[in-house]
Amino acid sequence: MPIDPNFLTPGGALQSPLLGRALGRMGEEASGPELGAQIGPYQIESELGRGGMAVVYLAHRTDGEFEQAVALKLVRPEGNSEFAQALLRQERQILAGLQHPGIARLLDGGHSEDGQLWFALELVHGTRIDRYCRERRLPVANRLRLFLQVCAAMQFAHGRLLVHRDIKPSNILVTYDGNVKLLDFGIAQVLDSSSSAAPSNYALTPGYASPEQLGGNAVTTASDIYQLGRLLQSLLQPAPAETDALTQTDSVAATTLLQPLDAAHTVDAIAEPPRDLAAIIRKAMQAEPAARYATVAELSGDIENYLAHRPIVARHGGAWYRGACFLRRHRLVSFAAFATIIAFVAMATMFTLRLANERDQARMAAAQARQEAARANQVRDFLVGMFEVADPNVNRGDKLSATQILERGAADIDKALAGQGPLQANLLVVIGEVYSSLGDYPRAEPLLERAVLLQRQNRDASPVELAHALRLYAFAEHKLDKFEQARALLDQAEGLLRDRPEAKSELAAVLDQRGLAQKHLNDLEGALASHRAAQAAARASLDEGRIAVVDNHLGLMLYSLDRYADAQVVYEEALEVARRRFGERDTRTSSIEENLAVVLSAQGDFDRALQSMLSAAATERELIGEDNGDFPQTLNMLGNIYADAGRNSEAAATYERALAVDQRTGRGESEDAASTLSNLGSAYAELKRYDDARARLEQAVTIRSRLNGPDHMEVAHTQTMLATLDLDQQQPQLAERIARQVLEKLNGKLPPAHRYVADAEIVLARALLAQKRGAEARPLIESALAKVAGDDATVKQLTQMLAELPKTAAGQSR
Amino acid sequence: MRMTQSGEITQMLAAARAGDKVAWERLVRLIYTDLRQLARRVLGGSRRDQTLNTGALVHECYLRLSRSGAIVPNDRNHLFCLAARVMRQVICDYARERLAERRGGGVAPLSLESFTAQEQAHVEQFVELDTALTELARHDERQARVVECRFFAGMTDAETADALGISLRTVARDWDAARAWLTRNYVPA
Repeated sequence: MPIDPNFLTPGGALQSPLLGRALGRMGEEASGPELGAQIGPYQIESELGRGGMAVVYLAHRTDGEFEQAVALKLVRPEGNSEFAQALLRQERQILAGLQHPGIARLLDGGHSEDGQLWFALELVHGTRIDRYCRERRLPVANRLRLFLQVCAAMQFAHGRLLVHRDIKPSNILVTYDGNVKLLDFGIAQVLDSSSSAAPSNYALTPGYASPEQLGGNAVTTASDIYQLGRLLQSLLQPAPAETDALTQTDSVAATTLLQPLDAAHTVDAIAEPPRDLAAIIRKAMQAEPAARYATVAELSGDIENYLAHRPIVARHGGAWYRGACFLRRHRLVSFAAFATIIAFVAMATMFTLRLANERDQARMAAAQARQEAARANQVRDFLVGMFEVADPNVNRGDKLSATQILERGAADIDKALAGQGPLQANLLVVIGEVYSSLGDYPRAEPLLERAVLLQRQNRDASPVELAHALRLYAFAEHKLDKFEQARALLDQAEGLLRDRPEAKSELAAVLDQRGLAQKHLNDLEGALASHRAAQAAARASLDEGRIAVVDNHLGLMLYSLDRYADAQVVYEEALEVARRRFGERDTRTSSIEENLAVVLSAQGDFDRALQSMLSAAATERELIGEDNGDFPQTLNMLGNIYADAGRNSEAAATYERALAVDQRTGRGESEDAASTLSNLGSAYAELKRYDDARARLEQAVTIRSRLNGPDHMEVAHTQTMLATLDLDQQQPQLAERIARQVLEKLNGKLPPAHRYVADAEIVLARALLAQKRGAEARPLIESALAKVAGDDATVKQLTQMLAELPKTAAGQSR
Repeated sequence: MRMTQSGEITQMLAAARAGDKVAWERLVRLIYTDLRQLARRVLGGSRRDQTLNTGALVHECYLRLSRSGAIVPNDRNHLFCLAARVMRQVICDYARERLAERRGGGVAPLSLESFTAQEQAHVEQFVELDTALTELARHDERQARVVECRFFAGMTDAETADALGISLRTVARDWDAARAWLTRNYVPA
């Protein structure tokens, strides 16, 4: 069947119904432990369900203590997993003591070797509360009695100062004897507190999160009351709640979410809750926490009043749940806008959350708390305002781009948050960073400049935050080629972070960035010192990602300074860290090994270079396979080491292998293949297999001409190699003609001192000498000699050519 | 004399490339994570006919990556290309397996999914296209990349030009040429 032109349209794949299915399948295949695997004292028996971030298994204890089937939930924390683990240890004690018939007990918890958190929960057989209501078509009174059970469990927990944070239908099951069980108590707490991004990724369920959660403020029992109100609303209006909440659920019942909604769900909806119940919901869901029910008992008391036909306490509360319902109101927001907003809210939340934490530690007075709530509202209103841009009623149905939303945010920030120095600064940093990340540095620059200014004016600003803003500002300046400026900013950032052991990772990033700026300013000594200091800070921070980046920059810096021995030390240390952290059989480890091999080879230590490269190649092949990733490039590098070691037939065989893989995987005509082909040509020339050499080099020229045009410098250089072949085959006139063409091509394209120019000059000189035209050759040799300083072998060869000249030249001139 | 310094140049390029692989390895994994999150949003969300803008997804993914310090931001363009390729692989592999299932192949069907006529047609289209694209890449790798960016990742002309480091005009020309070649000239073997 031919391909339909109507199918092959821009973005066509994204509009196909198959995309959702393919991605869904991918979600199912998310890596997880195999059945029978051991997690802590539990052995996995079967899978119960999956959500976006977590998988729940049926498991049982295997340590012989006692037989117990549990629901074992595995979650990969998005943030700092070490912190999450510590928090889990601390919380486990408290949560284990939370014994109530309405709460599924958290029995145990820990972390697996690869950093996933696991929670062993009491195994509950039951149905999601909203399904239960729907499927049995329960009358309102029965729904309310189930809700009261939920309230009773929450009241019990609140009495022990425990907050759930993530109350939603998928976290509440009804057992077959009609009892309610709350799941996942305390899990949101652990995940939420450990991760800056968590509010958007885990605990913050759109449609269920309270305004203060969205605003990133301290979460209290009032948030649970808000969520209870939302739950009540959804129990009374099942259909809209189901369609609106973009639920990210991870409960045992999660599988139900992956099934499409059927029409029956909407038929059963209770169109409009009775007015009193609407008032109760409204009071529970007030935007201002202080305006909600003060306790769960008050809320359930009102429900009981309603059931007993008594007057209820709740009465109108003004402009209700404005913030909370924005997702519902703006449900036609394009996906683009939605994704951006989620990212944006996550970042904004992180900042406000951090501020909130600092203030918690300072034990804020009640007056300050009110002030903070006011600020939180301002942030929320600001974010809501940004959402409104995405409202089709406002923008006439156009899909909004991320940039449009950002523009509006940047323009409004001063207006909306006037007089709120720290908040204004933090949001400016966020938007500036977003622009930077999108590569729009001219837009990022003024925002970040202002953020730095505001933070400087604010005496309470934390030095770490100021340093972070300085670094981002410096990064934008760097990208705009203002290296001097960038360096000055980074110097200040370094000063702020110098004596702060908790900010080592940030310090490493600052120093690393400064090294790059200094390199551009040609302050190579300074750059090296910065990269070295960055390395020390990164090591101290234990931040693996940072260590890898910083080490690599340092290694490349040393390599480009031709300080191979020092680069070797860096990579050897990095390798040690990687082996310890990632293990021997890990591609991160093997790629450091590859770098080490390149550096060893540059120093002529071919045996060890080969050993490292072979080991890296073996790891890569074992883990990724030959046909994936960069395996042919690894072979190419291996071939280069053989060639440098003078083992040309092994080099040729290795290059051939690389080419075979390229051919097999459809990359036979790629730039990588061309580079391997020209290396292979070289190796064959060394082996005096001139015809083979010529064939490979011509192939490389063909590919490179097609990829980059016939005048590209790599094409020219490969032609230089062909000219050398002509020389070797006693064809000096042909060599001369080609070399002259190459020099013409390169003229003006490359700096006159470029090595490729020198190579062409040498070939031309040799061609002229072979034709006994020494006088013409002399200026070429001298010119080449000026360009190859440092390459001892070539310097020697050229000097010798010069030394042999006078006789020939004299003979010629007579 | 070794006839060229090309080996050394290659080594330097390869060293940079190899150096970045520490980050790249993580990056590929992270992209998969983002696509899974996307899946969750699509399937957990309400509208099954939602059109998706992957450009935004990739932006978001990029944000997260650059925040985590995983890559240096001038690798952004590579990320876009990579994301497009991942999209292609995800959806085409899926289509291929579904097609194999339907044709039997001696294996019991793994999925109990039922397809509409349109979905079934798409299954075949994706498989044809994937094969054709691999063939196209042999003649003109750049054109195939353009199709990946435009068709699979839904990137605009300008985004594609940025990602591949080519001019807008080249993008338009490549897209037209590739589209003509894929829809008319391609005859499945």
